[in-house]
Amino acid sequence: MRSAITLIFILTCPTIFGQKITLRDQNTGDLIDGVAFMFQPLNGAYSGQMVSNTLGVVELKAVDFPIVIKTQHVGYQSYSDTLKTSTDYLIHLVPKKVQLNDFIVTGQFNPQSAEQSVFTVKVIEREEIKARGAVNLSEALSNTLNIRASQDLAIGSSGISMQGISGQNVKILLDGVPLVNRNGNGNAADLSQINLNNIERIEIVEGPMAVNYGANALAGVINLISYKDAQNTTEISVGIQEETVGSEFGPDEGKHIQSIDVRQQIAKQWFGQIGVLHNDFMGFQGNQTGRPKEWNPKEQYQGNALLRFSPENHSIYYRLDYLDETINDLGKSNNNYLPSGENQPFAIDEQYLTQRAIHHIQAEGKLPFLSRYNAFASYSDFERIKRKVSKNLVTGEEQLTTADGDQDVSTYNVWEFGGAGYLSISDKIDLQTGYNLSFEKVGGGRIQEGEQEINDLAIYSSLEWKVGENILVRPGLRLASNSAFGTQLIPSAQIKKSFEGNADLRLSYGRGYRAPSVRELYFEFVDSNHRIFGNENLTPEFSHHLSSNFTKPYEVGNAKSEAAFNLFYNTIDDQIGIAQSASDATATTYVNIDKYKTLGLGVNQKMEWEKLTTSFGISYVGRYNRLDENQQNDLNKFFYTPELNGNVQYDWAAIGTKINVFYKYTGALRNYIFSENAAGEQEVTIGEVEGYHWLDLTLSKTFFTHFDMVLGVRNLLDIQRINNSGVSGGTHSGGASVPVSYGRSYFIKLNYNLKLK
Amino acid sequence: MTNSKYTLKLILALVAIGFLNACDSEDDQPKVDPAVSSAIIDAEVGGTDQPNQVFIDFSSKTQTVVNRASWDLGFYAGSEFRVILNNPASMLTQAIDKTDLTEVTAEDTVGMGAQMDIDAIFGSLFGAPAEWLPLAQTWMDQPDGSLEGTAIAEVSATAEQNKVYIINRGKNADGSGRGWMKARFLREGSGYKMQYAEINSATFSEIQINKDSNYNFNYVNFNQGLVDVEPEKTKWDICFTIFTNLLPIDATSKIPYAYKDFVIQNRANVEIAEVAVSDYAYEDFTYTNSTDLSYSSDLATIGSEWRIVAQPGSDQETGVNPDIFYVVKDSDNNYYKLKFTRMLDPISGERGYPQIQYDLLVQ
Repeated sequence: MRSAITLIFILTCPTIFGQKITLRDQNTGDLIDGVAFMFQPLNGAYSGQMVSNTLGVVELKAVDFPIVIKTQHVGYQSYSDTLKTSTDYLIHLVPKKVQLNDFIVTGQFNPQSAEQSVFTVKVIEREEIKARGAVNLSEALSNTLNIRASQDLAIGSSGISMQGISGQNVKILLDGVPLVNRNGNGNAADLSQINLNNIERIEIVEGPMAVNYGANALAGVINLISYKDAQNTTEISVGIQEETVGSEFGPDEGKHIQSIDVRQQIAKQWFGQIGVLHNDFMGFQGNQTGRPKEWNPKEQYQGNALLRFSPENHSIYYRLDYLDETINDLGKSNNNYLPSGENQPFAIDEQYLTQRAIHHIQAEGKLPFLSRYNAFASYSDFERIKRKVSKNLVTGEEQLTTADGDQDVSTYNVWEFGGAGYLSISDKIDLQTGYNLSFEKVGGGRIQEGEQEINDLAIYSSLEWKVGENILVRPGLRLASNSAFGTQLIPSAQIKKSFEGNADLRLSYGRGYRAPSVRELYFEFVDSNHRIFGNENLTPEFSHHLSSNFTKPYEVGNAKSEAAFNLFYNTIDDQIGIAQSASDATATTYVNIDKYKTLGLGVNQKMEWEKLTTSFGISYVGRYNRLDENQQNDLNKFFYTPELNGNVQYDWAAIGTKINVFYKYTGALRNYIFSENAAGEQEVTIGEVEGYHWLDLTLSKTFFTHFDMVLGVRNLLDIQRINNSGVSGGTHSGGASVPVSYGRSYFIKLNYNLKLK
Repeated sequence: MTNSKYTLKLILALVAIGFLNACDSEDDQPKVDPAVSSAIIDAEVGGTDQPNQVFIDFSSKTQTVVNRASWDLGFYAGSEFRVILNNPASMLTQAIDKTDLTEVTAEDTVGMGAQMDIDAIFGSLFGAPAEWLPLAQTWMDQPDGSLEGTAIAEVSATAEQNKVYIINRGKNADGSGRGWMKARFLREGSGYKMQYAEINSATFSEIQINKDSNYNFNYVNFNQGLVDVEPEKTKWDICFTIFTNLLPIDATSKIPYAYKDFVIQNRANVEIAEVAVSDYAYEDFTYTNSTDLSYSSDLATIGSEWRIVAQPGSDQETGVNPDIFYVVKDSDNNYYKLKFTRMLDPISGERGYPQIQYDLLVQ
């Protein structure tokens, strides 16, 4: 039943000297020396690392089982498992064929490799983040299939949709806790505000993880896993990245990034980490002239610190994350003639100041009555100030402007508490039971009474049941009670079946829900042309998600390969849309009226041949298209968008350099629009947001032992804006092009890494 | 090893500089257009809610400011018998099949409140498609200003053919409703007679409106009777106003929609042409150039083209459209070049504070 590994228990009594782990080649049976062997007791005690000797043996002494282990070797696939009993083990390692499969934690009972998970989990490792020169989450996801990025130049934010479902339904977590932003508690995040300098890896699960993570994850979950340990006593890393913005570069142009990170084993049970990052994007003038820029300058400071204490059987850490962001939007110069005829031009400038602080305390380990537990409390404090000033360009005088909505402070404060206990009921059945409390307080100018609160209390439980040798079943249930819209019962079920030859089939059903946002519940906006009000009686949007995934490793000559086939279907009922108010015909409000569906299929192919590692994928995502009910019957129900991606890495050992290519084709996004034909009549036509190709190329090299360097070209094909013919006429049409990027840019990244044993 | 140390020092120095270099970049010295000898007018539109209609006369360099909720109907002073609605207040009307005001009660208006209202029309776009929506554009005067396109039919010399109209008086500047009326229009001598009352009233009032041909229209307010609104027809050229225009929504419907910062022109002999800055610079434009242009007498030649309003998600900025200016031919055959210099108040940043610059083109 093991996916890629065979594991045989050796039925001997444990020796008094400790436990012996023997490592052999799965095909030849040879003993393997030089295997890096890492272990981490589940009770949270200090972890360790060893290397197997010439007899292929690692000896563990005074180690408290159960432990999570992981091996690494250049020639063999990484192997991870949880060893429950204190005994000797023989582990057969599989000669390497595909990329390393590291631990994942999202939705898992125990940390384990992605291929053992009952969910389909995509992982973006640190190595890949580094090789891309990616500083924030937006850059790290730039060629991921089923994820489509969007840029808002007006407020300088960057969003995504997943599986064809909007970003309001993609939940972004930091170590399992929702990352608060201006629009939501984890969902609808601005990806450019999520820097990755302290992130070890990114785990992506498509499909609603509602049983574990609650609302707003209809499309999926992106979980950022931070570093909580170091392999040496002291690790210091100092980095600098210089990047052109399109062709613009200089002291007042381009992008300049600096970072410092220090990790230290303070004492036997204490570990500490502290890091700072400065990301200074000077904006992009582009086709604007004078003061305004096409992409507004954005400066971010990010700091984080972690302190971990690991007494016997437990591990407790406190982590602080802090972000300070300033976006400056300089307006164009407007003439203003005084009665004398003198011109004193002025400009309207906007500034967006964001501060976010997250305090997170988490404990995990084991208790006499639980094989594992974890519990956390976190407090997130988000504030965004919008400041608008008029500036006299002759005298330099600045004054706050007074139009409605010009000055605003949005706040989002969230307390989250959660925890889960894990119990092995038998060899076959593991049980997880947890709770989650969340208290959100949201404030801002266009929110009724200036501030509103939503509280959510939930309990959940799921179990993993091994049915026979090859089948793992995981049913789950969540019961949640929300102060704004009552009680929900959310089921889910996953099945994983393993076949001969390490093939796996996964089937997943999940019910997801999106809670109405505070804006939808309590919005209030009245001016001469608009009367829009929130609706306190909204109910959540509910979805059904179905997906299947089949993976199969195989070999072509010397090349080790793996193919995966994916299918998904999402249907969302009671989707919240804007509608005329039933009680007041002159007002519009939010109502549960719409229906939405997405449908997709995909194929992924990984291959490793000598020094060449490649992966390619194709996906085809259909979005349900609702124009209006009368016309619907004559028109296609779904529009499909193709996506292609490919990653190629070549390890050019002779010059110690890795060459990386990242590619993605994002297909055209089509929709129905109304347009005027040659005869001047309105008719229904198909509009589209053009497709585009994205290509990054990087070289990475280590030199003088302590230095890393990455040289790269981002957006080699120089995509800036793509045409959008999918806009119906009217005063609120957004324009005929969609910004993608500021164009081809070059970067160099230098890192100094010091490691002291 | 030495190289390694240099590299480390370089990195540390650059990181230190980067962290410390947190100052804002200085404002680029803006290019300031020089002082001008042109005529400059700050039109007193009245700020955010744009309560005023501002009639501007180029030759006398004057503006006449009128509250847009100060009138209800305009009676055409030319040869035809036509009545216009107060478009800036988004008034709407429809005839009912009755000719006696005293027989009209609230029953005759059932359902109109949820339809014949500018906000209700907009709101209906978000519901199931409303069958009545295509009718909405017949409840307003056609925005090109053509007399044939008024919502109220030509006033017939045969009294029995003049039906009762139910009128939604639209909105005040603060957004509050101005109420509903019923009215009937008749000819009286060479002028008009209007019968009017509140919807449920069993009696009605009458008012006589004579045609004063110095004006385009003679105006009436239901509460105050005859009122002064636009200046004499030879004494204004363009007018800043809120304007209820037709907005195309889909294959079947255009709906009335109120545009802010709209500019209309005098229907009596004023013609206007648009000039692209890419063809001529404003400063260099002379009378000789004005003969190449095609002039229009459409009420909305300027309309909302002179300005840009930022939309959510777009990087366009609210302000004047820098790519065009206009040439205005007035009723005395004077030619003026006209440029909108600003749209917002230079201090408060609010809309409703436009400024124009214009010069007589010497012939």
